[in-house]
Amino acid sequence: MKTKLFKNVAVVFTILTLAFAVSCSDDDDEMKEDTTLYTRLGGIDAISAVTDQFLANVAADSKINARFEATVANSSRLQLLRNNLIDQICAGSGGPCQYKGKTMAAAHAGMGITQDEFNALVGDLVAALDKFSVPAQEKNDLLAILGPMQSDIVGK
Amino acid sequence: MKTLRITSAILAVAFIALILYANLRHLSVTERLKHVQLVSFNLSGSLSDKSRVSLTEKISSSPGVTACSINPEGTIASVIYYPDEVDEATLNALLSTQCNTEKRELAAVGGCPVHQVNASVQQFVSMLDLRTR
Repeated sequence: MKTKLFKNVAVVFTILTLAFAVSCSDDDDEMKEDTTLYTRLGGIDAISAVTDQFLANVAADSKINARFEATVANSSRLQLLRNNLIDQICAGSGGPCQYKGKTMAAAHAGMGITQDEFNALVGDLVAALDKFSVPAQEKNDLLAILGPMQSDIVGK
Repeated sequence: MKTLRITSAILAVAFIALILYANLRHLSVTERLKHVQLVSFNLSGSLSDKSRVSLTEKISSSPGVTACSINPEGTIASVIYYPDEVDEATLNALLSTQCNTEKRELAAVGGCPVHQVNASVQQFVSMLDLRTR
């Protein structure tokens, strides 16, 4: 009788231990997911808002807006550029998106973009991030992801 | 007559296939977002830094506007908006309260780095997709 009781207690204890272990494991996964830059930035809505502000800044920036005029003036081209930018930031920051555009080198080949123009573009992005009060850590993490693209964009 | 019938049948099958593709393809997160448009205005008249910032905030917080930017010189304003919620005339009227405005005629060709053919194909497929309406 005692043995049976002991067995039952052991089984219950084992089940509870396993359940606790599984729930801890789930929490760990959630913790990992929560720490992606995508989540810290605020997800797709926040990235979309920053991207729109970035595009508005670029279109008003007399140093570089001539490069983008024809693109943003056309509804379908604007849409594709916006989607590509959102996908790029979303995918680069660990979000559920896939960048489907051309590589940076292929997209900017033959355009002869100067360092000053690239710097102006980065300035417009930083201004967009600042407008939404994106914290310094997230801003630096995002710029660190986008920074290496410079060599594929400038002077091509 | 037979050639015409075969050609019509092929075109019909191709169109149906395109509709099926447009409606059954996996929609990405960005493809589910509402479409936007951009309008740009030349500004003239004296616009102080303070007025520029407050005007930018005013336009940005208007219904249907997703982003507004006025350059530091106060000469160009660009607004991104949902065309089903607000129109250019309304945005122009809002900007005109503090300075003179004139819609900028933007270049029709060239531009970086999205090309017209890609964009048009995407737009056509999107038009056939009943889920994105």
